[in-house]
Amino acid sequence: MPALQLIADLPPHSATAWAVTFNPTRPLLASCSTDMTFRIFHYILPSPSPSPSPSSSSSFFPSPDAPKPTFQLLNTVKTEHKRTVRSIAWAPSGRTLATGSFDSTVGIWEETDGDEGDDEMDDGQGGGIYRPRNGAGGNGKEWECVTALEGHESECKSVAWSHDGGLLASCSRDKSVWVWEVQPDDDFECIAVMMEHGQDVKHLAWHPKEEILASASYDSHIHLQFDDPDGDWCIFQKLHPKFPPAPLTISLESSSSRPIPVTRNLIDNLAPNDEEREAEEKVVVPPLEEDETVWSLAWSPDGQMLASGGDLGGIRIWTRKGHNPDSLFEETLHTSAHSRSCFSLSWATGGLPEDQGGRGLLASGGGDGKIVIWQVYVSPQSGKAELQPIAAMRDAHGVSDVNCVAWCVREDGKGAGLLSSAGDDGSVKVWRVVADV
Amino acid sequence: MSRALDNENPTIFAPTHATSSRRQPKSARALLWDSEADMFQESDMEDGSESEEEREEIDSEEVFDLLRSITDPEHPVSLEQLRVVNPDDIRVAGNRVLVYLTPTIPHCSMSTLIGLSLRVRLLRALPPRFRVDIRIKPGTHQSEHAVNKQLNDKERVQAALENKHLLQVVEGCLATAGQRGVGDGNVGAAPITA
Repeated sequence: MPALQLIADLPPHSATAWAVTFNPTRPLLASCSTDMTFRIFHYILPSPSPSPSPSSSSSFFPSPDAPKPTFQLLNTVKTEHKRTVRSIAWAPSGRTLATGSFDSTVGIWEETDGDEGDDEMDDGQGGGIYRPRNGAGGNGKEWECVTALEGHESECKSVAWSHDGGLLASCSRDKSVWVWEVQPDDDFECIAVMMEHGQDVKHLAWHPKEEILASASYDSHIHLQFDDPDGDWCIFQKLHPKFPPAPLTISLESSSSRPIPVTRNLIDNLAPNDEEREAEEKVVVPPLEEDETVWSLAWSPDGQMLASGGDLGGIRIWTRKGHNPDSLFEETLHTSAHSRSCFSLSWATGGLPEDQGGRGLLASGGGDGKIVIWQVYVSPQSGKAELQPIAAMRDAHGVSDVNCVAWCVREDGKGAGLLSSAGDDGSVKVWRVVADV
Repeated sequence: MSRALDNENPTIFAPTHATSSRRQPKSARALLWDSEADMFQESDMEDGSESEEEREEIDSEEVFDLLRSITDPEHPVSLEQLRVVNPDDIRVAGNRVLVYLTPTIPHCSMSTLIGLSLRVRLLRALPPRFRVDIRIKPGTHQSEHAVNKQLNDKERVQAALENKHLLQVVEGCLATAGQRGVGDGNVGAAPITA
């Protein structure tokens, strides 16, 4: 019976925070903002405690009393971007950052100080602390823009590194998706430009294991592209949603089809309260008639499913029908989720074990101010992947929209279960799913 | 601007909605929501308002009041005078605000710009708890759905606000927004930030 627990409320940006992301190899978190900065936070994990006995579903998650990681602001980096920094992404090495800006450029950032060994970035699991090498007052290292990638004609909205860091992709309001090859000495060569979206390209997500790139657009489509062995980079499938949203029903009654029991805490945070219900009745906002913008994408950890979040607030699951590079995807689920746009999705392992049907935890954040954690599981009845909300937080960033949610996924597995989020008010927060109090 | 106007001869209506209908005790605080004012400056309050509940209720008339004096991008008259915004086309409940705008002609290319001005005005003037939706009044514009979608895309709105040229036009439209009706002798209607 899980709940979402606040771990850290970090020093806010001075304007909208758009994105936040955990470093894949080191205890660092990065966020970016309309204030044209990005921020680097360091965290220290508590010493590992013996895992709880698997007596109930609650035991998939730590107790709310378990020691919490501590977070600290290391750097506020004033970028050379002239407008909003909309997107930020760590290379898989954890050493390089890419930023995508409304000024149409992509920045590539590295630490100026060449460091040998990682001892100063100790996790704290051995009791070590972060000792800044240079810079007074714990400001840590300096970040330097080593390359600025130009080419987009208007706002760059998303940047993403491929699973092995060999490729970087960027997209823009100019409707294009660019693939850059990473070469030695901070050199990036554009090897493909795909121009088949009809409107802004809002978000990019690389497959976790293969060189397959998904792009989401204002034009309501998701394009799947790969490096065709017989030719150039090309789109091998254009996904367009068909399913109407299935209503989200939750009740306290136990159900055998639900892998994790529903709690009062979940209902309180997820269902509209009296005031919201009254407002909904009094002011009926007519839905947008055009097909919905796709705002967000997240691959399942095994790469066999893709989740997408749209303007109407729902979450869709697209399932791969094979294991070939160009195996096609099919829409298999569309559930109501947020009462306004679903701006962000993040998918990581966790929760129900795989041998019990679990397929990881999906986090979603939306314009309704909510963060929702979903258990993805294969239903024994239908044999299909289903989503069950297991924890939620209303007003996660006060009255602001939640623009981004991102799980901590590190190659060493440390920090698993930590979730970061970014809000319209500039705030950056960290959460974890805990067994309910 | 050298280009031909979309609507050369718009019908201009006299403002009929009296400013005096505004609920006076709340106007002082409402004015403080202007972006230029410090909304937390208790000492600027007219009276002992510290005892008032923190959360101010806002009705459709007050939202209309915030929007009525915005100047049309093509003509030196207010959106109220062109009946682009109308008190009856604004809905408010809880944290929801819904504004319908009525373009003067069905092919008005200025509709997006007007909608953007409305959004910016409300973004700056309303407490942040409000979620604002803007729609073209059904049947009044040939690209109604496309304009609606664009006006409600927060990323495009943010990008537009970082476009200096566009922002200048919006600021031009909003320069008169603080008049909240007309200078008809109602002292309460004068912007305190002027």
